[in-house]
Amino acid sequence: MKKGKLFGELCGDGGLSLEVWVEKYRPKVLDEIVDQEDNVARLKYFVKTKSMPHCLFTGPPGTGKTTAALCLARELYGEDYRRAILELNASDERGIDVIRTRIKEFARTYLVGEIPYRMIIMDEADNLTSDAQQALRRTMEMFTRTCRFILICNYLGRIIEPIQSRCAIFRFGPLPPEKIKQRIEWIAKQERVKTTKNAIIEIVQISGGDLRQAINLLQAAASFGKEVTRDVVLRIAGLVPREDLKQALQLAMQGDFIEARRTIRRLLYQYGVSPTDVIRQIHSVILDMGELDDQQKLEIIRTIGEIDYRLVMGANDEVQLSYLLAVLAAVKQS
Amino acid sequence: MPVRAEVWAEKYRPKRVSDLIYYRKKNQEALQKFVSWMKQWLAGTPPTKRAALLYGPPGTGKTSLVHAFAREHGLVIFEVNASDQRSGERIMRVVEESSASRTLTGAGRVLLIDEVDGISPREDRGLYGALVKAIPKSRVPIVMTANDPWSRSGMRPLLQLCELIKFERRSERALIRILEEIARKEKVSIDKNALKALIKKEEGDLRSAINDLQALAALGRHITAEDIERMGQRVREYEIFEYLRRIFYAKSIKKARALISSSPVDPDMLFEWIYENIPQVLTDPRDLVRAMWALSEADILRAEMKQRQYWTLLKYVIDLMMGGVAAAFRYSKPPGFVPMHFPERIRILAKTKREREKLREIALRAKPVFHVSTRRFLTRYLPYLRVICSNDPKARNSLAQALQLTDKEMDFLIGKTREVEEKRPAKRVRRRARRRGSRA
Repeated sequence: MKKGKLFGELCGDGGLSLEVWVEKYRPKVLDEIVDQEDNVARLKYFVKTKSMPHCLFTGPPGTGKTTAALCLARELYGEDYRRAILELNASDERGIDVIRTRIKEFARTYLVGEIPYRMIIMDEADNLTSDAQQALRRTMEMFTRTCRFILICNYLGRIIEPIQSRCAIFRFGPLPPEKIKQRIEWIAKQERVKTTKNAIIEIVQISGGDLRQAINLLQAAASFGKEVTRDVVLRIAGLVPREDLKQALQLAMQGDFIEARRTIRRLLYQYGVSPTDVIRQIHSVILDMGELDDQQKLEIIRTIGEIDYRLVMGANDEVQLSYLLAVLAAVKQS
Repeated sequence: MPVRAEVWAEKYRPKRVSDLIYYRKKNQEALQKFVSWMKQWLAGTPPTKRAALLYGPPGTGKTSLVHAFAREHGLVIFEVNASDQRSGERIMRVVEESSASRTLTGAGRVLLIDEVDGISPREDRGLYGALVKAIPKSRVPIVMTANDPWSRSGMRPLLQLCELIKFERRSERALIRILEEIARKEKVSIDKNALKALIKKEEGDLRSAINDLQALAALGRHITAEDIERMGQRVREYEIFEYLRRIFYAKSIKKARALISSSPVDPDMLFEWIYENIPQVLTDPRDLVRAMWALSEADILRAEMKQRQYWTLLKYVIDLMMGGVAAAFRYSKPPGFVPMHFPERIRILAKTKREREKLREIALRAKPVFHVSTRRFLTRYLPYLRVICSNDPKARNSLAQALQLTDKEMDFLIGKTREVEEKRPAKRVRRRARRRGSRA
């Protein structure tokens, strides 16, 4: 872990160049951040006055929350900023006690310099239980003199009221297609990658406002060393082996649930496809299925939406996908 | 020597009462009690209690004792299968025949009813009734075995008529000695730690431990504690199959959820068993979808319960997962024998455990580089990184450097190989293989 951190420092700050574009082109200063003008303006004010409250950044993935926190840190503390910040991720730290200990250890020493407080960035804060959030709230109060917290979450509703009321809230909306397009085209130019117009349109559409996914998609498509076309993009996006997926749906509709479930298992465990990708792929396939009428499609889409939401909320992927298979089997019967 | 498909648990069953030497410490009293009860029969003066109930955890030697005693004294064992529907009638017939003949002619008999508490409540009425009638007038010793006779209210009247003989788990040391001896005789090379792990895993059940040993021997190499761990927790399958049937065919949600108190596995594992076997029982898609709906609701509630530690939600999870499948049963094939399966998901996860651990370890190194949780790294980054690093050596090298990955680890990460690390040269395997070759 320790070594990893060292390398992280080197890479993040250009000692070694990490040829993974999401990191290579992660904005270094607030002005570079794509879109989010209002948020950027408020954060720049913090830099100007050298003071800031506790903050809560909320919004979907790939909209610049973590980047904004890192940029703010860099502008406040300078290139040496990593000494002044502590990055925590609630989904990986085991329990609030571990978090509290790490915060205590980090906050114990005073910071020498212009800015008298350190910064603690807590990602995926909405993964904490409400009890843990209460404990976190007390910790925040205890270290207010020496630390500022930036809590980052996808769902504001999962953060308890007392924490919300102690933080300045920043909402990060999904990026508009035009902004994603600009950024992708810019990166392609920097990397001297040739792209077709349709490929860019496809990337923008698939990303659904998530710039990180758009950049990953671009690099994966470009890695073949040829012109990036719409076909290549679709092939990468369909990391889910499409044929297997179609087969699973067909089997389910024929009423062979056991075989359909086996196919889904192969996707999840053998190919290691992310369950969210599977469910989103199913969504894109369903509309084109001639065997179903529109009413049936609506019913299935409602279920897909429900399942997508549940997966985000931490439900068991295989069980939820199997439920969808059962729905398909039943729809065809009635 | 020809290889025979022999079950070691049977092969090494004690042949004589004195073979049960390892009882000495723990079950000496039980042993003596049984022997003196049987000796009264042999002397022609039947004891007042005409039946003996040997009870205790599985694999503590109850049945072995009966067999060993019978063999030594030339007795014929009449074994009655408790779950056979006509076992009540059969018991009455054996008892009546022997009373009619008045004297015990020729070889004596023993009536053995194994696992008398292991039958479903629907079947037990006839059996327990027949026994209550038969025991007082029996002229053959009736021996029964049970794991926990007090768990069944239907058995209570029976208990008063029986000589109760209690068996306890044997000490770890005694069990290890037995396993060591079998391993030696079967030429299985196994670590002492592995034996310990085996006994711990099977909670002192010798029979299961011997079965495991035989399964492990099939690997044909030296066995370590790691191998035992990889076997995972084996659930007593018979028990759980029966139990699942009772859930699936329960007449109401209330009856189904009441079964939770006797679950042989924890609620999470029960969830997996139910999930795996839903399509086996609920063959009609209309039933299937209702059951899967209930299970998927139970699942999300369970996730919420764990994440927020709202343990009070457990009761709803149980209602949904147990009651849900029971209530869904309507159009499917009528109750009958349905083969149940071990949860495939668990099997797959156990098999890929090391691979997943390795991935997580790499994801931890990636955390400070990409500023994401391990979970997100694996689901949102890795699929793309696989493509990128497979095609672009420059990206591959820089990532390897950033995460401090060896070439091998990199290949594993991008899915080029499934091997987590280099295999140790397995000397013993070769030696055993040679030995086998010469035997064949």
